[in-house]
Amino acid sequence: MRHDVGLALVAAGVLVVALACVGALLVRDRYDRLHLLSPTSSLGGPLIGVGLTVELGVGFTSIEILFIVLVLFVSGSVVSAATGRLLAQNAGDVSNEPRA
Amino acid sequence: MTGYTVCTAVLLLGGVAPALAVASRGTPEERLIGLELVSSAAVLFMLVLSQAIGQSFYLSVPLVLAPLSFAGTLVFTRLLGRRGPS
Repeated sequence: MRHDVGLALVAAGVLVVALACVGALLVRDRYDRLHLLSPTSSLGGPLIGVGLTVELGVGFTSIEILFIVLVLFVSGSVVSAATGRLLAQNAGDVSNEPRA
Repeated sequence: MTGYTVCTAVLLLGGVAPALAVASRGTPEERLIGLELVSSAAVLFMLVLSQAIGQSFYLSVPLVLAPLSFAGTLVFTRLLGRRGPS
């Protein structure tokens, strides 16, 4: 039972990541492409991490996996924001002057 | 072939491969988005791979890759930004 639940969660996460990556390949607009980056780290990663934790049970390996997924989760949103600002700066939509 | 092996193959072919294609074409900003996608997909690929082959010490690679790709991407966003008037 635990194996099936873990595998189902991991499969769902893998599906999210695969769809986001294929979608990023198909869309042309750079902002749409940036938008498709978020599901990988904010939905696919946690699903895979929780699925592997359910499969393995509580232990050092599970904590390591959850830590990796947490780093990916936090860094994904920061990187998306920084890249969005870079795109807007280079398009001239926002100023690149330092704030006073 | 176990379910985790299939998940690993799907992640490699449906996640890492398209992300590599995104990272290899377009403007520098578009390729940076592809690089971010490759990093995320590669970290998750190695997580599932370690479970598929039953070797937990393989987790050391994503453990290092996740923070390093974060720092590297922030450096790229800084370097690719247009310079202001001097």
